[in-house]
Amino acid sequence: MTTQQIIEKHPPTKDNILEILHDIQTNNPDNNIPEEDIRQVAKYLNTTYAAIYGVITYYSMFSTKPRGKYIIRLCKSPVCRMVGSFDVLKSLTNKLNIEIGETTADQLFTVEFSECLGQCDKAPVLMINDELYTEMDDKKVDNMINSLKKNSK
Amino acid sequence: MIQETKIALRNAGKIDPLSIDEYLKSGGFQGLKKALDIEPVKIIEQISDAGLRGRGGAGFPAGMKGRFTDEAICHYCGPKYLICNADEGEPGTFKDRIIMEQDPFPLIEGMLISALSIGAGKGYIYIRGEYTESIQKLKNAIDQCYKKGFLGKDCLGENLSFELELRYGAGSYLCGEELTLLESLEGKRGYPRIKPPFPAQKGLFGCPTLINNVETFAHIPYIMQHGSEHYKTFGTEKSPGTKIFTVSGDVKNPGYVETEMGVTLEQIIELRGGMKNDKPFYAALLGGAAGTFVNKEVLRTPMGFDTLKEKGAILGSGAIIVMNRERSIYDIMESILEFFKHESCGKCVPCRVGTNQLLIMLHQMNEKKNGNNEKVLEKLKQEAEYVAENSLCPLGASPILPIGSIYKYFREDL
Repeated sequence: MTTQQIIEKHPPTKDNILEILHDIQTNNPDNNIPEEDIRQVAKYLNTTYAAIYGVITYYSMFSTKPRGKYIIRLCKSPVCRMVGSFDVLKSLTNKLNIEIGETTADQLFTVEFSECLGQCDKAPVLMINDELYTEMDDKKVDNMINSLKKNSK
Repeated sequence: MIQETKIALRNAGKIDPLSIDEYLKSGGFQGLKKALDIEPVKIIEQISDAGLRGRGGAGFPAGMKGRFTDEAICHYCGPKYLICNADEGEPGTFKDRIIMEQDPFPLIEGMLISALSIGAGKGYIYIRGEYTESIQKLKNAIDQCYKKGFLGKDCLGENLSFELELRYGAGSYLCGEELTLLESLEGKRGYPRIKPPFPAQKGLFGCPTLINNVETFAHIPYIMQHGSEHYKTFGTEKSPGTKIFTVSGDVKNPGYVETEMGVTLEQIIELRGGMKNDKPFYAALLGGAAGTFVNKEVLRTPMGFDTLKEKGAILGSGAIIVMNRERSIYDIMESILEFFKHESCGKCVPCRVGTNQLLIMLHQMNEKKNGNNEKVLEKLKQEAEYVAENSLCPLGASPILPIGSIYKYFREDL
């Protein structure tokens, strides 16, 4: 589906901005909203490029820069941190050989922090795109990354 | 041992959350049926009489909010909106998620009753984008309600339609604040508005708007079905009804409980199996990041909006993070202040600069206990008070809650 087709699924009112942006980003293999798409959204909603850009950069789930196929969002809120989310981060960055906020060279993984994911009874947790992974540890990180790598071959 | 009492979660685990038929069989939409038989103003009266207080954290009387929105029609005469705040993001809180995942229909029924009471024709559920399972369950519930005629044209009687739409947030804690949520729903950056005007007078698109939390809406069908007198038999005089508490940290079985208000922290911990590995209780963080730390002095205080206030604590969203002696209050505080720094929207200076300063000040604490930490804490408290007084929205007013409570209960432990 082209960006224009995605946009036109939604009514052209400003209160649909977040829906449109979610839709564009989810359908983009690079998990981002590029400049050209922002222009199209602005035109469709009869507003400025700056208005749309402002909205995108405000919300932490959106990105204008290309990201990996899998976005790993690691919860760093108090509960997850208490039970070791920083250890999970270490496992992730060691395994993927990137720092937080970076994307792997093969464009598969991006690691980001997230605030509380509301799964505190199963901490530490992380999300990969729409999937939730709970009670994470070094071994689980290993298995998870391996199986995702295998799937995308 | 104390028993759980379920109102918001009365069907949870018993019926299929994907099936409206099962909800109907279990007595669903009976509250709405009763509400349709009485005058709208009586619905608001009944909610007021029940003493229902907002379950999102502030504990504002739900009936009063309804009345303000209802009366606002005379001044503006525009359309009115109803919004369910499902942007649950307070650290340690997952009660709304449990409601939406396990039994989303009472929430919709509660919204229908509220729409009827204030005469709203359109409603939104603003849910956080990360709650994928809740989103799926709600989508399904809304679809089924449309199919059965509970939503849509003339669903509340002749010429009384109610349309309900789902809207997703995109990772902003602040959008859970009601006025910021309105900005976000209107398609703007999530910057808070100055109040007054309150949403009841001038809310979404400038029209009177009633905003309630998921748990608040989920209580309304029960109140309508069983009456306010019955509802008041649960809980305490000033905080009637039940509350979902989400318990995490050093307890044996982290999870949630729904009990009457007025239950004690000790009883809640017991319901979740007691302390993990039987290590003694040291501290609990009540209400999440915008919450308060308490020590064992508060273990037997009844949990209610006012009873906790007397102890310098808050009930907030019902989040309870339990800690044993091995946990460091400093680490948790650092995580909280990083959180506020990250989530501060930057619109007003006291909060934008202040949340950053607070974190820098906290880092001045050192591990050697030479009296310096107490001085830093004192300064931290002063600064947090200043930020709270001068910020535009509740986010800037929040850091003083945990900092003030550390000052009160854990000054000597830092």
